[in-house]
Amino acid sequence: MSGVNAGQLAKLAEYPFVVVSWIDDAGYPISVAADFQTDTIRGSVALRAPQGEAVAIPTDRQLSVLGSHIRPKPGEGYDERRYLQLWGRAVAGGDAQHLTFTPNRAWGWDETERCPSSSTRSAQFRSRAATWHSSPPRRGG
Amino acid sequence: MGWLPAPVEQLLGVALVGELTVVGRGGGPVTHPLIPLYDGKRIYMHSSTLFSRKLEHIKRNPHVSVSLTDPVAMTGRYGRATIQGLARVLEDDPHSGWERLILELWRRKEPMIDAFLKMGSRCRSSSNAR
Repeated sequence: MSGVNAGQLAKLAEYPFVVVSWIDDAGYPISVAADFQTDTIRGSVALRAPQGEAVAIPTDRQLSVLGSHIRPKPGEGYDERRYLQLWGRAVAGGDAQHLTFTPNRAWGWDETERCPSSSTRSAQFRSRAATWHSSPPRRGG
Repeated sequence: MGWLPAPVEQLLGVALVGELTVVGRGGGPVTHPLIPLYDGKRIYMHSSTLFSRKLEHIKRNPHVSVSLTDPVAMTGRYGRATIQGLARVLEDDPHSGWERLILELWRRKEPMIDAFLKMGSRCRSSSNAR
């Protein structure tokens, strides 16, 4: 069993896809979206990178696997923000297209659990005071 | 408009969430879903200033990526992209400088922001930004 419990894996299973990230050989983070399936018995996640992705998920370094959700509200913005992130490593799976990811740590956030009232957003706007920008990107597309 | 490929700029223009990934203290990736605000030159994101781990990570290692993956958060667009770059924390004027930089961009994606700003805080929770 991994360091992540079955409840956390069950929560991850509620997301439609995950974003898999790692640090590439040049020292930059990189991410791909992947289909996935959780295995609460083994404490693992089967990852499948979508066809057409130009990069392959590595097996020789730490990965983060993120499920994220919002609900757009046209004319207003969005709500229902939540996410769950797992860290660990992957090994090659039973075929060339799949990997088995075993997480050892998890972190999540859900605005409805943190602040169940409808004013969730307002507090965070008050607290956001710093901005940053990225420039110049090395790669787009 | 800008200098990124047009399909990527179109995604940035509508995305309500992008995944900012930074290099964590141990050298691994740490990802934060945030609203990306693009002015044609730079991608702006925002954070709490107090005890923000992602800001600490960026100050220590500015290598970052922003990925756009969720069609629900991009008005149904199914394109995906990852943009790599160097990030810089802008904290010269934490009280009002951020409004000058990003408020109009933010308002286009989240029209309710003005109401939120006026409402003030009724539920303190800034840990999402750590």
